[in-house]
Amino acid sequence: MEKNEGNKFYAVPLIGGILCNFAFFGNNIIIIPFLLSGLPPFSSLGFPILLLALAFGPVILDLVLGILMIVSAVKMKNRKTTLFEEKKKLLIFSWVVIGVSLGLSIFNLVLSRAFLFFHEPGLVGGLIIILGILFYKFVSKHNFIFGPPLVQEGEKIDPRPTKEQFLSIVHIFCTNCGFKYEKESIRFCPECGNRLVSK
Amino acid sequence: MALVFSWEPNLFSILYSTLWIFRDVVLVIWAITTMKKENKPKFTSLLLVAGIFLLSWNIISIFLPSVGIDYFLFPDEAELDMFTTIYFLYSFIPVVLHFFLAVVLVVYIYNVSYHYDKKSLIGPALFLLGNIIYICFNAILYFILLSIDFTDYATLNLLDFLIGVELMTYIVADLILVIGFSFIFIYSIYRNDALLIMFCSLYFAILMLSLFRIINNTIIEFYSW
Repeated sequence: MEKNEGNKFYAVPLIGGILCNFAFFGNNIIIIPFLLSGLPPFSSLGFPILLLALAFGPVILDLVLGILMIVSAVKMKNRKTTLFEEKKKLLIFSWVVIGVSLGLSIFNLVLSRAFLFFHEPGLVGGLIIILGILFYKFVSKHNFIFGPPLVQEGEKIDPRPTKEQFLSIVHIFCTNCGFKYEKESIRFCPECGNRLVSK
Repeated sequence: MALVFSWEPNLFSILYSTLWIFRDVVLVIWAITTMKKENKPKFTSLLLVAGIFLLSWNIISIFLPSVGIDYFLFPDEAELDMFTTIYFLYSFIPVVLHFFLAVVLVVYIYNVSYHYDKKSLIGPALFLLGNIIYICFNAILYFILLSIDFTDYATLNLLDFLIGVELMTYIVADLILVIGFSFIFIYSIYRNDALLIMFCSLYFAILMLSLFRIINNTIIEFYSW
């Protein structure tokens, strides 16, 4: 087998971001003909502005999120960040993009009375990032999703607090009602529900 | 002339073909980088050949016009023959090229990692199965198209049924391809090779896009109001 030369996962958010940008460009062919035609809902002045706000806003969101995905992929390639740090951001972005593409498909269904689904690239880009992170969880020996990050070349990670430091934090005192409980550490006050502090 | 040749590129078709070309370029670069390694696995030159064939076909297919029969004119026999041959070429060349790519991938993955991990052949095998289904149904459709009498109005009604069957079989075949390629996607992440991951995710994206497109076309064909 080949030598393990660092994490090459940056390819997945790169392709996902490119596909999200494609969703922005593919959308224009359905909206622009409606804007240019003088059909009844679009002949009035007010409606096209509403349409612009409804249709172009989410798709511009697709474009911006795609660019941010590509930026994070390039950062991962240059060893500035790791997948563990970018994972949450990437997952949120991809879910937003999937929601936008599905919502706009329903919007087009209402507008044109046919299921015109021109935002598939965004859906597919988001799905690829989610599936890639899921597949990484299956494939990697380290538990990458819920466990500690993999240490990469040229990267410095602060030492984790030891077990003794964890145990030294004892929540006993309530700042609201003055409740004290000295036997063991509990998180919330049984009297008033306030968060306990370590005094 | 009852045949209609039209070349109407729009933004979506241009983006779609750029995706295909991007995938083929990544495949070619990956094949070249694997050939430069010291312990290069067998049959990598076949990968390069498949990539170059696919790239050249996808570049040519941008400039090819689409063919249709005029709605108000009956075609002659010569025109019908021309239509069927063009239909045959347009549908068969990419399918045969992808079948070749699937065979090459099966051979490559068998040589590289079958002895370490016997599950790694699931993905390429499913991919090959989907391509075989594609080829079989294309051949059946072509022979039906040859046997149809276009001047007879009664047998012409068969075309509606045929379009439905074609769409449904394409959905099934594309589902098998997507499932198979998801296994290859996992394999590429396991190998931790950036170009291989890029190629696999791009091809996976294209397969899912074509699947959604076919489902979309069936919805528009049968259930639009």
